[in-house]
Amino acid sequence: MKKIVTYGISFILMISILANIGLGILKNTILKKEYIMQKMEENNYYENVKENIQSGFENYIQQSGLPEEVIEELFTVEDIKQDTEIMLNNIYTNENTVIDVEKIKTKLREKIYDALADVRLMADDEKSIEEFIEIIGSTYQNEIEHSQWLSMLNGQIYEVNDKLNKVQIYIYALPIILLVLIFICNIKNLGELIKQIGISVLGASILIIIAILIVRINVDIKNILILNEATSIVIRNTIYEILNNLTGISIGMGIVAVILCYLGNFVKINKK
Amino acid sequence: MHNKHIQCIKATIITIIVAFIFAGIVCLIMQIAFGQTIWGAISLMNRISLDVSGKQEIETVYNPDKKRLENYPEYGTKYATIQIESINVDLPVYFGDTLEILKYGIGHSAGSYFPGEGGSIVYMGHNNVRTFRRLGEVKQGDIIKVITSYGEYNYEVYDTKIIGKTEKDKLPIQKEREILMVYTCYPFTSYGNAPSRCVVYAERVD
Repeated sequence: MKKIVTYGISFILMISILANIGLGILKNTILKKEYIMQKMEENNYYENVKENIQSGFENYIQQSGLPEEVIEELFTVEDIKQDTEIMLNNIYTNENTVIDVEKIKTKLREKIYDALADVRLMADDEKSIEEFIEIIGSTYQNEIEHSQWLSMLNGQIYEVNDKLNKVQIYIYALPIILLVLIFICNIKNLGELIKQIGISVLGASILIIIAILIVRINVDIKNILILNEATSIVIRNTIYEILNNLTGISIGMGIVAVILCYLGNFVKINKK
Repeated sequence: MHNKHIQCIKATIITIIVAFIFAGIVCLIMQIAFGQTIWGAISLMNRISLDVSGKQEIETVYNPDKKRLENYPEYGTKYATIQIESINVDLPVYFGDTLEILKYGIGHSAGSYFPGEGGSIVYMGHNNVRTFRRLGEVKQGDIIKVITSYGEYNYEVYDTKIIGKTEKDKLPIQKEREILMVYTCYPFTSYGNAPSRCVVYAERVD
């Protein structure tokens, strides 16, 4: 009976170890704004987005009758960084700030009217020019915000973090409680205690490896395409990094677990 | 001592097997309780994966009995050339009508038929100098030639119109007659966002 209870607690300990690792990985990666910004920086996200935006502007300039120079140098990589941070704040901290494109529109307007200084413009021309300026402003805004899709995420990660913060104390406390219970069940058998901890840790590392293998074999990570190539590169490399970290953690856990299993059995056998 | 060591190793192997059994039980529970969700999520992830490596170009084949294509060109690929001798136009035609495609040549509206299929075909291009700046000079009787990878088709212009940019009903999609409608932004030398479209209507003559 005592053995069944011990193995039962050990099984739950294995799951709680997994929960702790999962929580730790999530809170330090995807759920952390600074981590995402760091990944964007490492993967040249801002430079890639600048190219996308400029390419988007070029879609409209050809039919506008305006010289191509008017759409050049309307914004910098620093502008994109700041506006991307606004977008991330909306997702991670429940803010609702709208990206301000007036600076770009004003600059574009000045450049257009400078270029057309010698042209007599009619009222219709001015109206068409204003429409063009609005389209360019929207192109910039949409490329940063992907408002159609990312507005669904506004505040969501904040809520997830909030809920996790409320339960994390229990998730952190559970393995400690279970260890105490195993200790109580095997108070005179230190070897059994060590062995049970080894089983839980080894079981957790095996499950992590199985999960990693399932993802690597079945998910076509290298070809993931979400929103645009710039975003996709960040997502792919983030997934690879998480998988690599988990692989390292699980191998380390596995080695420690096997040692604990051996040690536990050694103590038990020597005690006999 | 040696015996104890061997006993220890045997016990450890059994312990490791127990750990694998634990892991197996969890996998079974996950498969029974969440299997559909997990595989659904994996399937979703793969649907957003776009493998563009190793794709072979499929030849577009026209079936004259059915009057339709067997293999349609891939979206975004060039499949024809449009020639309008009267205004010195000789440009590539791409399947698709995104702004990205229009940067490179003439777009073919994905909702319209292909040359040879007997229905409405809609092409569009920018009104810049290297594309359709002179489209307004096309007149009745001019020939528009469309040379595709599966055949050559000639269309004789019978009408030109200036329509509003939202008047989609002036570009009707039907399958009784093979009509080619080519349009661009109008006025040709407007600044900014052009309010109208210049459309050339031509009917197949061979």
